[in-house]
Amino acid sequence: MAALLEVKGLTTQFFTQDGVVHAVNGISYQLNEGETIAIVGESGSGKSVGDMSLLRLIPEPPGKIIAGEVWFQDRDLLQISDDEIRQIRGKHIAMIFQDPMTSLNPVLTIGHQIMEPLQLHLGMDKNQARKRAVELLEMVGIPGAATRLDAYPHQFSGGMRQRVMIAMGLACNPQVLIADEPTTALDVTIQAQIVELVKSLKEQIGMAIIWITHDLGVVAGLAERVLVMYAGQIVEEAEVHELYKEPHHPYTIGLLRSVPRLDMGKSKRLIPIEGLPPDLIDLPPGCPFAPRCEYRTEKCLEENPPTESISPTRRVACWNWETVIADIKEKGGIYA
Amino acid sequence: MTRYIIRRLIVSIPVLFAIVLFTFAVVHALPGGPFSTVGEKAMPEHIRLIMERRYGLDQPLYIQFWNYLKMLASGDLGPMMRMPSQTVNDIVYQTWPVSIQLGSLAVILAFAIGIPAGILAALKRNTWIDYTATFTAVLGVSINNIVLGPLLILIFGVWLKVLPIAFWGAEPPWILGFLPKPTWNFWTHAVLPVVTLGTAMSASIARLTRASLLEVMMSDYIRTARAKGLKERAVIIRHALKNSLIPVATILGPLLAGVLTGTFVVEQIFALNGMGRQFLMSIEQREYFLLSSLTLIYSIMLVLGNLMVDIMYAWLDPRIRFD
Amino acid sequence: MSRNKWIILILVLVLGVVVLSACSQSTPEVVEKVVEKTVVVTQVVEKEVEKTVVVTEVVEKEVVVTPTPQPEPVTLRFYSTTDIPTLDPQIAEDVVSINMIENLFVHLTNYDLETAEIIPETATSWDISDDGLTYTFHLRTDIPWVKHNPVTGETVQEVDADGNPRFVTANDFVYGIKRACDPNLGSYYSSIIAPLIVGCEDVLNAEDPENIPQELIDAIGVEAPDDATLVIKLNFPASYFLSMTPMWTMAAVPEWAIDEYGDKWIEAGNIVTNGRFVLNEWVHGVRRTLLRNPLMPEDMYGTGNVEKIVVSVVPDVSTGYALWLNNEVETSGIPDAELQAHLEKYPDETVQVPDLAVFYFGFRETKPPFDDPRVRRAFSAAFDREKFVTEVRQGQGLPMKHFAPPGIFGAPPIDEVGVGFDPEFAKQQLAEAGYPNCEGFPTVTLLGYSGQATLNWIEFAQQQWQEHLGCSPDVIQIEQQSFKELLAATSAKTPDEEAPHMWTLGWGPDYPDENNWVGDVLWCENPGNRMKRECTEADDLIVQAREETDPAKRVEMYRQIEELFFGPEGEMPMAPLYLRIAYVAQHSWLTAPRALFGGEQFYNWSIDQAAQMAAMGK
Repeated sequence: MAALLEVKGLTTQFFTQDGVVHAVNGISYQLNEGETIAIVGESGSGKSVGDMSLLRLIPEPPGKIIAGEVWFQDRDLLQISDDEIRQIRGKHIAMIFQDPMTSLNPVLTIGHQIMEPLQLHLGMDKNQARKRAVELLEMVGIPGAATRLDAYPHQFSGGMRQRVMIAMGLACNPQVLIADEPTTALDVTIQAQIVELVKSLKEQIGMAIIWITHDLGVVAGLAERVLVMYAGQIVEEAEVHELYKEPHHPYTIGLLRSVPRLDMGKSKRLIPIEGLPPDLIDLPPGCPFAPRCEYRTEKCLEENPPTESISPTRRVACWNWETVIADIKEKGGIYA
Repeated sequence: MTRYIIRRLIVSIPVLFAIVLFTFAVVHALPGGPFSTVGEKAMPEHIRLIMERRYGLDQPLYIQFWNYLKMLASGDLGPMMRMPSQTVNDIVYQTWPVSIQLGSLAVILAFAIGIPAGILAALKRNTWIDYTATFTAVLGVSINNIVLGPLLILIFGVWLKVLPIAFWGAEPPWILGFLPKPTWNFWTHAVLPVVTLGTAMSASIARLTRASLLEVMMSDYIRTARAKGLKERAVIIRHALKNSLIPVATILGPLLAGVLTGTFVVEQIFALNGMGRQFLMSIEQREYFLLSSLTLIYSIMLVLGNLMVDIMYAWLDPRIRFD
Repeated sequence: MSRNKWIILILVLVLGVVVLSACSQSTPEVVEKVVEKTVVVTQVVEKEVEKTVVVTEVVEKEVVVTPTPQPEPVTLRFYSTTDIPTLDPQIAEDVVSINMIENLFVHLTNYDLETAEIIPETATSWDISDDGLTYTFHLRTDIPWVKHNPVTGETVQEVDADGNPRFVTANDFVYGIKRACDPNLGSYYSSIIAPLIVGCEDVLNAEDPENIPQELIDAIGVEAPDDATLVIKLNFPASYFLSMTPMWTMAAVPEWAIDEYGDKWIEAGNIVTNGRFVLNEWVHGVRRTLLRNPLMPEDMYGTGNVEKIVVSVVPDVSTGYALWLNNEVETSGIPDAELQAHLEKYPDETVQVPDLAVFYFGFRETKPPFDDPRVRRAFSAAFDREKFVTEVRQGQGLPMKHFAPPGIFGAPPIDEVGVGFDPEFAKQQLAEAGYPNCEGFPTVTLLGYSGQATLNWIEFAQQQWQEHLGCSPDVIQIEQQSFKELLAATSAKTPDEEAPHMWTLGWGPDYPDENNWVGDVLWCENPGNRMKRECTEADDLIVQAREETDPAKRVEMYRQIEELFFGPEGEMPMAPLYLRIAYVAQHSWLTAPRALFGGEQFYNWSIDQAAQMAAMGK
């Protein structure tokens, strides 16, 4: 499969009064056509900054993309002009955001907001755009779509608003949809509905998806590949079933342990990861996870491990990943 | 909305009544009356009593108030006790349009300058444009009408001799009962008083617009708009501006009250025959009817002004519904 | 979206109205047509019959002046801080009104600007009966009643019901003076003339002011045996009565116009006048314009050349002064903050204008410790008037040792009577009163009227009393209240406990005679006796002096009275401090002899028009 989008060494920093925040530190990955990948990590791990950097949506100042390349359709999105990147935004690469309550403009009708990209990128006139907007709303499952175009965001429930966001994102049939924690703010039943909706839309439209989440639970039924981020770095990459079966990075293990599972016995308790994520202003010299890691060695504290390819589909950034697998095997699973 | 407006107007009637009653009581409680002094001398007792009887001031206060209400009901705002060739209706006809013209022009100026300046400062944040605008705004907010008026007179009237020092460029009879004849004379005379009255207001609007726009520009829906590929200008005009004006609308109410009190000072400085000047005079001279009627008119204007603010608020923010 | 459209629609409407009205404005200016009217008046007095027959012939001639450049009328521009409260001579009681009335109406007599004497105006001469009770005025009958039409600019003589032209007659004065006795006018000055004129007080104090019996009105001692003779009868031989005759209160007014228009008779277009000027325009609260009355007898024109007067209303003196700097007005007051700079920069364009107002500290004579005359003398003598005028008033005043200022008939020369400032005397008096060096002196109150100027004044007094009497400022509690409150607090009716010990006040004359000072302010039987004085020898003299017909004797009596009040042994009911003199900015092209008393006589003011125009850049 050909890479649709290729990210190389992307580094984004924020220049604040307290110092430089190292939000994203040289991440590289690729996205293939029609593929769904998930980027997983705690809040502040740089996953959102990373994907907003793709479209140069980082507010500048204080943010700045320091280095890296983002290849899409033979162009480096970080180098092309502002006009050109605007042509990409919303048309080829669309985004939907975490909080549908605040991500829609409260003073504009949702019709207006959906029609905007249609008129802008597809050159539709008002009537065409309106018609298309109705179709889109129907597609995302909003009842009475035609009558609701003139409604304002506050007249919709949270789930419905996220559907509107999705309709907006898909308006121009983009090749890539970046979904930045789209279900976090919703309650659980709605979350599942949205996930199902995206899955079915993907089948219809066939776009590739980058799904950003802190919830490994959501990822399982959705993504084909998972990237785990910690402190602005990709610490592990694997196909989704591989990751669940045999996590290599102690942080991934920690994440998996903290996900509640239906097959988990009542006696088993969720195990939180001890400690706090590192201060991104003042990163330690070694592995950023080392202070919280049960497998850490001297080396971990001194030198930051590179993201190493260990198989065609797997990468991991850990000096001791082999020890980790061995240990897990010995214990008989991560929950032991 | 219409029902809301009607309801608001009906609700405001008892408020107005209370205001007038309160003013009426307070002004009558002030020591001395309209006929207690003549210039710097005391009026002979006998004549004072006759004059007070003529205007019913010898009656108990509640009867005076009742008579005043009856007078109001018939459209009569009352007599001028110390200027018998005039009535309060005459005075209001002469002065209300001046105040309303001055106030409206100042509000228009405040918005016409304040909002673009605020936007510009926000968009060019931390550049010299922003610093200049912010500095001017702080200056504008802190400088008092009483200082600014004479200063402008001195600079533009006395030194540069480019603008008239005093007076309003329009007089009765008014067009449609309150509009000036928009002559050259009118506009040149309007410049200094309007700038004096509008500066502080435009400065606070500019500051608020700037702060509010900066905040709005950080919001999620602006990111959404950008992610759609909209040009920055479209993002600002279509997505940010209306949102950022919502907080500005909330200060309009207090601002209108500020305009009203501002007219008192500006009318005095620029020798404009406006209501504010008459108001001050009526307190000094204990022109009870004039004072009560002007208070009533000011209150009605404030009620209407606040209603307009509410309407504007609803127009800006669809989340607000008044029915 | 529909809301959007509404707002746009309203905006468009408003704009439209403004634009439309702008268009309708662009009518071409009409070339003014000047109509000059010549009136030939022939007066034949047939002596054999005791009647005056007035034959008048009015010849109208129209002269149309076309484009030839028309000379600007000589224009006097100034401002007042308020609108004119009234133009009704019997009602007027303030400077702004009186200044206008002086020029719109002729008065019975006039007040000479230089000598302060009473000189002829409508009355060409007068006789006083030997008992001093009957005044007979001989009037000229060639002064027309006129009405000015502000729209056409025409001034036309009034005609009576039979079509005969109206001239000012003695009957008009009878009407005016009887009207002045009417309590329903609510005029302060009614109470000034009423005690003098026979029957006037009976009407003024009538039990039922709504229904005054005609007999009472008929009984007022004013008669017109013929059109040219006015007889006024007095209750007692008030020797100061003549000094009241230039007063607006006693001016002739047009009965028919008052009957026709009621309260509105004074409005431009309604008003019928007989003075040197006519009212061309009265934009209430904004401006009034006066023009020369073309029908006035030539010998009454006055010595001035002013043809047009424009008086604007400018409440703020700073703004008025800016207008003066800009040559937009001929004369202006000077704001305190600008005074020093003005005196340095424009010494030649500054005049000093006294208004005969004297300011003083009043003492409550019934309230201890001020019931002791020695305490009052001490407080008066410890105030350095010279220093006060120089430092606090910035030179705008003259120190006063007694009450009545120069320019008032009967006032002693300014530095002859009274103790004035004498710190030694003050110390000694206070010690004799039992408070050496102010020891044991109780806390007393001083009430001033509001304003920074008054505050400066009373703080200066505190310092003086500390310096010269040793009284700590804590002993003098100062308070400021509005003028009306102060008058109420110091009224004779206010009980001593509530009244202040001392207060600030000023007195300006109603008529230019000493009786208006010691008689109307200090006399013990005065209803407004704020000091609550007991009657003394001085009060007997006050009563005698007002009936004394010999002017020389009167002068001597008033000197005695002032001595009894303000001399070293004096009662000292008040501490006279200074005569107010205002510095006024006045452009050099204006010659403006000021009236010490009564309205300003603009008809005696002159303007060097060439200089004025040059300054204005024309």
